[in-house]
Order: sequence, then structure tokens, then C-alpha cells
Amino acid sequence: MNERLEQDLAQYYARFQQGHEQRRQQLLASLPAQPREVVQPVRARVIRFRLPGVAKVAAALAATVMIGVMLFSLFVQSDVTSVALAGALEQAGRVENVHFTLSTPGSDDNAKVEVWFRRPSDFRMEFGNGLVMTLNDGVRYIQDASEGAVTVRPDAVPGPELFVLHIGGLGRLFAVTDGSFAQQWMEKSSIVSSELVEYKGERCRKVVCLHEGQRFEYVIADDATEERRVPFYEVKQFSDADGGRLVSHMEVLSVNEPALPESTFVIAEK
Amino acid sequence: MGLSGGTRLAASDGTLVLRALEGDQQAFGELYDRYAALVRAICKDSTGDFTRAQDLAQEVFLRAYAKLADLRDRERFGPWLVSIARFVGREFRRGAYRDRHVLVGLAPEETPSELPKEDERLGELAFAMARLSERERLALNAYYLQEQNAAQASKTVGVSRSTLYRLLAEAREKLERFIEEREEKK
Repeated sequence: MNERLEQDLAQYYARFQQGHEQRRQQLLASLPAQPREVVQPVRARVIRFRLPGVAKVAAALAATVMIGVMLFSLFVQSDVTSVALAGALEQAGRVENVHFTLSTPGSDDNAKVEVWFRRPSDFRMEFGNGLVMTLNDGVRYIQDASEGAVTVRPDAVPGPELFVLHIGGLGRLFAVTDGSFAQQWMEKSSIVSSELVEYKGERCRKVVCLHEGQRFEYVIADDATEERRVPFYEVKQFSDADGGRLVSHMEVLSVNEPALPESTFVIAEK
Repeated sequence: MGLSGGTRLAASDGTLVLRALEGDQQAFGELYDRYAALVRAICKDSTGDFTRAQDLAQEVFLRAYAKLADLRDRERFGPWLVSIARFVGREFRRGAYRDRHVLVGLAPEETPSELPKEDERLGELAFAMARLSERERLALNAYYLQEQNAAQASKTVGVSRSTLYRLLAEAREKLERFIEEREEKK
């Protein structure tokens, strides 16, 4: 490698950083409040409907325009919803800690787990059958209510958290740290419907999606412009696309709790 | 262990695009921080003029912002932006903007006379770079303006890492030869 050339190249390219901050401020000041929404494909669709209508009869034109308007609103609404949902997913991947329950309604109490998760990997899980597990800084604590004993051992073998926080479980919406998770999740999701609902006194949006052949129902805050207090209030996962059987129900109880005690992630030995 | 948990990683391009789509202009500002220098360099290839390149780069970002919702694969923001920069550069070369003093409603802050003058060596280098192929220049631009990160640069240019290394090697070899020839003629 020619050192002189490398030095010259470094000097040459340094010029492109000049005035950066000033230009940045100018650019941001000149941006419209939000990027343009995706309306172009809708327009194209409306035109395709409209042209033959114009050539034939006014009634057909009126009907076509109505269809166009309906398609337009549906498309724009769908786009806004997908942005809101993607934003909630992305925010979920950044929370410092979260407290939620996972259950399968209709089955016995054993099919329930209450979870406290603290990024990057600490957790406490209280299962319906009395088993309590925590992981804190690589040390795993296990207490089995039937035996009353507490086992403490260095974290070596992943346990049930795999199926709660990682593989398949809805907890992965919060626990997965892969930066592209939200995008990949969205790419596999198609929005079926979106409606305003009231959830525990808050104005929220219920979004129904199909994701890898299963129906998912999310309740998210309706306001997509500000950082949500909670990314998801509730998520339901069904066995199939028709919503046949509710297989998992996540209710988020709190997010980013500032005073989460350290003892949450430790089971004291008796 | 503190309650705050693990180390925060820099947001991916896709995440920043999503946030920008939600109206978070600072997220777009972060994308600007990542790619502005590269876009300026690409524009400089089209304009041959540093000040105009700066204005053209602003135009590129404004167009990107306006079309942000059209970007399908948000993680490919970099290559997408580069394609816009090349397109705007071609427009400039065709003369569409040649006589426009203000490209994006922002008057240039600097006149050419106020810019730092390139010293002779850098002038020779710029002259030699103008003789490289567009792909070779793009490879150099992406590599040197993205912290010499070959993985990132190859993604931005849209080539494999081995192709990027080949382009870089060819570009360096040509630059050395051009500069030597110029010096021999003096």
C-alpha cells in the first residue's frame, strides 16, 4: 500500500465533512413535518379504474371514483397502521425492562407465567405450577414450590425462557436484540384490519395481522407521533389465520419501571 | 449490575428510516450524519465543484426524505440513497440544474473563493480521480467515507466484498500511475 497515496486520500476525503453541522441544521429546518405518505400506487390504481369509466358512462365514472376513494383511504390507513405497528415493535426492542403475563385462556392456571425481563438477559418467571426461575448476571436461581428448595447454579443450560422470551413465545417481541427483528417481523405480517378501541381507559388501536399463517391481534397506543408509554398493551396469538384457538395471550403490566428492585431477579436461599 | 441493563447499539438504518417515517426528524438527521459525506463526494464527481456538490447533496437528501415511504427494504437505505445521488448527478450533468444558483431553496453559504484551496497534491489527486471509472470512484468514496469499513462499503455500493477489494485495488493502482505520469511530465 502506498502510504503517501493513503495520506492524500484521507486528506481529500476529509473535505467532505466540512460544514457538515451547518448543512445538517439547514436540511432539518427545511424538511416538511413528515415524509410524504405512499399515495402514488393508489393514484395509479384509481386512474386505471377511471379511464374506461370516463369513456363509457357517467354512472360508471361515479362508481369508479367511489371505489378509488375507498381504496385510497384503505391504503393510506393501512400504511399509517403499519408504520404505527412497526414503531411499536421497534420500541419494544429497546425497553430497559418489562413486566408481563403470558397465558393460554381456557386452560388451567398452570398455563400461565408472569415475567419480569430486564435487558439484556435477566429475568424472573413465576409459572402457574409454582416453579420460580430467575437469571441475574449469569446466575440462575430455581425454586420449586413442591420441594421448597432453592437451587442456585451458574447459567449453563437455557431453560423454559427459551420458549417464553425467544423461540415462539410472545416475549420475544421485547427480548430479541437483533436490530432487524422489527423489520423482519413486519415483512412477514400483513394487516387485516385496524380500529380504534378503548383499552383500560386509554384510547388505543387494535391491529389484526396475519403472520406466518397465524392471526395476531395487537393493542397499541393510538398516538404514533410520540414515544409510546408502552409499546404493546396486549398481544393475542391464535392457532391459525381464522383465529380458531387462542394459543397465547400477553398482557403488558409495566415497561421501563425505574425502581425495579434487584431482588426481583434473585431468589433468596432459605 | 446496574438496573439500566446492557449497552445500547447504534440504531440500524432500517430503524432510523422507520422513526423518520413516524415524523422523527432527528432520526433522519442521524441518517444524514452517516451518509452526507458520501453523497457530497458522489455529487462532487458530477459537478466537479465542491460548493455545488454540497448543494446537490442537500437536494439528494430532500428527495430521499420525500420518497422515504417508497423505500421497500429500509435496511438498504444506503444503496438507495446512492442511486438517488447518482441520478441527481446525471440530471446535473445534463444541464437541468447547471444554471440554477439555488437548488433547494437554500442559498450557498460559501462562494468558491472562500473555500480552502486544494493544494497541488490534492489537485493532482482530484484530477486523477476524475479519470477513474464511476464504479471505482464509488468504491473509493464509500470505503473512505464509511470509516474504511469494507462490509458497510460493499453493501452501500451493492457489490460483494471481494469485488469491492478488487475495485479499490484497481483504483489505487490507476491513481498511482496517473499521478506518476503527471509528475514525470513536469
